[in-house]
Amino acid sequence: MAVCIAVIAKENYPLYIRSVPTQNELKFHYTVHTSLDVVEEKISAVGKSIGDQRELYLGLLYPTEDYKVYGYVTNSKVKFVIVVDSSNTSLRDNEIRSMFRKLHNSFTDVMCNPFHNPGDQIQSRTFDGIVSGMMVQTA
Amino acid sequence: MAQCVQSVQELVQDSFTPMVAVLCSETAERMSRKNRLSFAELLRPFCRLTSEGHIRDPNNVLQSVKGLRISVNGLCPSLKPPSSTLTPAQRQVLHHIVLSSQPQEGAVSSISAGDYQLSFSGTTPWFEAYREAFLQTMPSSEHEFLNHYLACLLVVSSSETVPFEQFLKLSQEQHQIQHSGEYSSPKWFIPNTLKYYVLLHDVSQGDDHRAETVFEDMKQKYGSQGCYLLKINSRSEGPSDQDQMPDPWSQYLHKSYLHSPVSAPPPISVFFANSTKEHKRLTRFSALPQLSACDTSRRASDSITSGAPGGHGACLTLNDHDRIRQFIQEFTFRGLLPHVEKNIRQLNDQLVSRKGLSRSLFTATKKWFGGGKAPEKSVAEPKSTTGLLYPPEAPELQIRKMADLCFLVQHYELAYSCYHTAKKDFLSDQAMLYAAGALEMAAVSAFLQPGAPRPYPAHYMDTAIQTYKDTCRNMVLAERCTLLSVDILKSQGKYAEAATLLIKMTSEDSDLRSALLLEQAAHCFVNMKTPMVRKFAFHMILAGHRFSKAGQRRHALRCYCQAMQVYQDRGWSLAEDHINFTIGRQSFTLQQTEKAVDAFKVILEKESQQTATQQGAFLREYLYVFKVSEGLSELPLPCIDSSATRVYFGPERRPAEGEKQAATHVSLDQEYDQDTATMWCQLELQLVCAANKGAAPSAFQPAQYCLHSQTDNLRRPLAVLQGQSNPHTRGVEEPLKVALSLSDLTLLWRFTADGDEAVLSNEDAPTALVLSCFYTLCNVCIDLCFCAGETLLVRGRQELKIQGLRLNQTKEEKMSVRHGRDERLNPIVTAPMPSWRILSLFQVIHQKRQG
Repeated sequence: MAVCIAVIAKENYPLYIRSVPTQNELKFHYTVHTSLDVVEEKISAVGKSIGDQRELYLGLLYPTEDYKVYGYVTNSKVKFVIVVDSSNTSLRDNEIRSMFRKLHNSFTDVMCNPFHNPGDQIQSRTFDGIVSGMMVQTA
Repeated sequence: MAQCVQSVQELVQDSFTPMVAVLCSETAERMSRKNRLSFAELLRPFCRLTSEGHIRDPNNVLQSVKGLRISVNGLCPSLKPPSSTLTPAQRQVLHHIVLSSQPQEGAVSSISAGDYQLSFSGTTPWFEAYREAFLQTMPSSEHEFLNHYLACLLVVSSSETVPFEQFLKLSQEQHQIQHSGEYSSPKWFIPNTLKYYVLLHDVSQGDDHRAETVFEDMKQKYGSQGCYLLKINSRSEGPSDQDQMPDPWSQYLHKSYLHSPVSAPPPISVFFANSTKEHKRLTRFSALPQLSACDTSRRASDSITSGAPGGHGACLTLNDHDRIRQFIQEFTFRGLLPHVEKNIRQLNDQLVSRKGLSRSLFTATKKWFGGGKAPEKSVAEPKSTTGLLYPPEAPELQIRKMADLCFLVQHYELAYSCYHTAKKDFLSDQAMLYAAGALEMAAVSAFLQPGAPRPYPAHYMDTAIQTYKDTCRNMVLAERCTLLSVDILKSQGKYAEAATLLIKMTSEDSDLRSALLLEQAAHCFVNMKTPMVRKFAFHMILAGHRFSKAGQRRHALRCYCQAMQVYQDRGWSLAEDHINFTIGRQSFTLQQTEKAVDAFKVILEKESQQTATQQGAFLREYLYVFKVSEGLSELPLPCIDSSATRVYFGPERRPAEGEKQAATHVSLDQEYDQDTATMWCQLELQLVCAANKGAAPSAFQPAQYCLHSQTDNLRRPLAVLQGQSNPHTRGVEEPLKVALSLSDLTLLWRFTADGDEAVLSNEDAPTALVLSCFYTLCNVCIDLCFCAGETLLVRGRQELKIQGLRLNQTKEEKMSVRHGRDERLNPIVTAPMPSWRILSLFQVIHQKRQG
């Protein structure tokens, strides 16, 4: 279960950020913003071999003392970032990958909506629903 | 890490210098006091040797010693045991050093990374000042010998009647201090400290011939290598042109001046070497870093007597400077270096002999009888929390001493091998503090070795830092280790590792240290090959936060402003708001109200995604700051939609009087209908033509009484004075989620007379004017009164600026964005004119219909 999920556009501004409301949202904003540096580093490193099927899943970006941050980049340079609680050790790599896959699918659905301008904030209820399903449930 | 003035080698070498103590007789001290300097201070600017020295290592290979620097301090024994943390007084000193060192204006460099363009200064002089002061105030400890005193200068003045007696007394004193065991500091390197006898001769007052004879006797007694005749004070005391004389002492004494006003030392009894038994009186280190305590205390007493600062070395000529320089050189090359060489040789012999025989026996017995029996060493002395404590004669410590000596005279290869051996011993004995020390120095000497025969062992440093922090809990030593290794990594270009080390070192106990280290980490991130700009910004914010907790507001503000450059206008609104808010707060506490107001305004102007309570907090802060700042200035709220302004110029409209109804539909509130308006226009045109016998006058313009966004506003309307006000309406938008109540809305106007330059307005105070000629009205302002939440009442204004329609006629107008004029708010005021008012009767129309 994620603690914060963010979708970031190609130009590195946020399209969608959602975090568990009880906690300090500002901290998550900062963490996600800083993790973009690491994402960019990985993209530029991986992108040396052109024509290869590039790995979309970037893996663990960096661990802080409380949280682990995972990244995923699409072919159109839209980035997904998931922040997970460190104490939650039951989450394995495969589960994170499946979360990203679901996110990617619903994001594609949002993009397919002809009324949605790419570059706008994402305001789809279906997307919200899928994201809520992945976040930590608070009572 | 930011660029520093000192290179790594210089930094490391300056942190570990051979220590020399000074004991002066009273008369000698008085002689140097004529220059407002104690003897140790007198020597200090000349302590960096320019020429090369030579020393033979145990294999009889001649090594050269370049650019050696020695450290001379007055002798101040104290009974206090050294602590493993900084005293609060020392912390205060460091705090003031950082506080007084602020960035210079204009020293900025710009970095462009990706699509970020940053400009900030690449150097951090406050960090360097902090580092220097910190490294100088390191307490001496048991496990290392680098800041133990190697030699002692005994200084006696030539004007004494029996100088030899004085020398004897001083020598006995030094012996007593070293060996009596009462004093825990200073520490001495070898039991047999080198004593160097100096005869201080005052040229202007003394007898040269006599001094020479005494010196000859000294040479007989102590050997020509063990004594020196130093002549100073060639100029007599008194007012003289001091501008020509360079004052190299000021940079060394500057730091003492920083200290004395801060700590305000109570009258400290200075330990003078005189005949009365005064060494029972303690020297109290009230607030001063250990090493310079004596000088500062003397300076304190001196400043009481002599008054104004400056004017050091008044009695010294340039010749004297040269003589002092030569003295130091002689002392180092003829006295200190041979002494060190001898000791290295001695230690080496000891070790070789011991190594051969007893070591192997010892390890053998340990191996065979290891299990049940404790090694004999540990029975003898008490165990400390950090493991074993070695007795002073233990062979491991001898190795360490030898290694330290080699390090001090720049024999890095030999030093490295000794440290390596020592480390192995210490680790096997589980003496963690000693092991950490040996690891640290081994890494440093490997780095400093010329030619770099082996790669830099970064893992040594890491282990050392880890051990200091966790096992020994000695943050001071850990910090020193971090500072050194970070510099070394920076010189090798390994910024990422350096940043990791710095971040690991930040902790809760010291805000100032964490702030400085976080800032350095941020600089590391930016100096990488592909600069990690966002990490830089994030760590700047963390550093700014710690700075403000440590009370360093200007540094905090600077950090936040630098971080703002990265976050500005990038769409991360929450973060941006937070930074702006903090900038506003900090600016306000620093009395920069302008900046504060600007910062807060930015938060309030945009469409914010914050919660209502958060916005309420922002608004309250803003209003509070606004109240404090002087002058009526612009309020950002509410957002007024200027283009939706409607102006009504006609006569006062009375819709109905009994049965009569005004025959005009023009009013302020009316909806605009394009068709009927054109119809009225044409009617009016026809009327005027009819009145003018068929032709329309050229300056005809349809009378428009109500102007708004859809009418043709190009010409300035005519406003006829009838002693009434012209009502206006506005469109108002409220971007915040917090409720605001507006009260006391008034219109401000400005008048300019035709052909007259005078501008009248009611901006300052509402006045009544009687106008009787042609005037032109320009710009209208609005005066608002805010009342939000807890009734914070603020007066402010907003300008009404109407932008005309975008012009789209000619080709160039289509290519560029140009707006036409809109003269709604600039009416021409004329004298009263007659006007008709037509009232129609309702019945007339009604009858017509029926009929």
